[in-house]
Amino acid sequence: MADELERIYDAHAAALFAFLLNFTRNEDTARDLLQEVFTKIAQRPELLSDARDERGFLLRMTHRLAIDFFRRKHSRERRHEALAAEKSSLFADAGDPDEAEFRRQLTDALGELPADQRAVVHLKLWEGLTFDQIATALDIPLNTAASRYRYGIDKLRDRLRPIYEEIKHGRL
Amino acid sequence: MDDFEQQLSRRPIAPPPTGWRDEILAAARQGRTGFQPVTERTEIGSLVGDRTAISATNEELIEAGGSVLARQRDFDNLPASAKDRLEACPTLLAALRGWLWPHPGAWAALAAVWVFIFFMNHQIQVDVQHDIELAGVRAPAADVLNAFEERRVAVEHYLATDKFEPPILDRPPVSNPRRTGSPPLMLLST
Repeated sequence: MADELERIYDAHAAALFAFLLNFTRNEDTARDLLQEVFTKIAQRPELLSDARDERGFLLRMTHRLAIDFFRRKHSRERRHEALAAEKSSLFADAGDPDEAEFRRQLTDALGELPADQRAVVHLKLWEGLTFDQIATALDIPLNTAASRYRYGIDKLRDRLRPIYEEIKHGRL
Repeated sequence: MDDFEQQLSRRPIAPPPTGWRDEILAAARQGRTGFQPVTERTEIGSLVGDRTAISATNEELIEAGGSVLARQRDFDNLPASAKDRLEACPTLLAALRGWLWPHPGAWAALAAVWVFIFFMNHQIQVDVQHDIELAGVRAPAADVLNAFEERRVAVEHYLATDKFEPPILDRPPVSNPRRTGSPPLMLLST
């Protein structure tokens, strides 16, 4: 089991942490929830053995734990947004200052999205999941996943239009 | 994906720090959750200096974290059977919270509206009773009620038969004038 746990960590921890960091916007909380995920897997290894898609199953478990975490803290949507306002370093460091600025603005723009839209956008853009897979991972209808993504990406597009135009024209 | 979406997706999200791997795996094997207090988190004040600590400016989260740590320590001291029961409770509560609309304020407002409705209904009944007492109205006596009932039956009979003929109940015994020897009606001819 120890080797299996390490294999799962090496294969999926980065993706789960990225999702948690984008969803919770707090590195401390993301770490705690990531540990909770692996604790549950260590306690019940049969959970993953029955899963057809390991990554999808783990994302679903991670999302549920994150939701439970906020409910235990009696959090409501505005608490999510309060956490989203914290400036967590979501993206890897960039050497180029212009690139760093773009990543900073992208971090801020993602923080301005509602948590449910942010989750869908993350899974679509940075995990490359289909809407069907996203719907399964987040336990939402397929149409809901698609509409949340559309709303979220449109907001990001409006928010980042100036800096995106500069990127597109090669000025960055 | 259009170009904008591709631009976003190319930005790599920060990976978890490499030092976390051994800590998380060790904690997982020991059955510790993410809210287990670690050595450097013994006091709320120490969170300020910790790189991974919650922002010191967010006092609400610091207080919540401290209470969570205290509850975690209390939980660890419980026997295994009690731990199992308590672990099932948050899941049940979370499920109930998910089923019930997670807006306690709305539920409280709805309850307040119902209380107001019950209060107004009771108040109206009290006012009506008060008005009745002021008017000196008394509950009708049983014989009065019976009289009204008889009149009601009579009216229904009249309406049903469309004849001004008292119902059998009220009709006095008919006497035969020929048998009793009463003089017939005399038609006077002119």
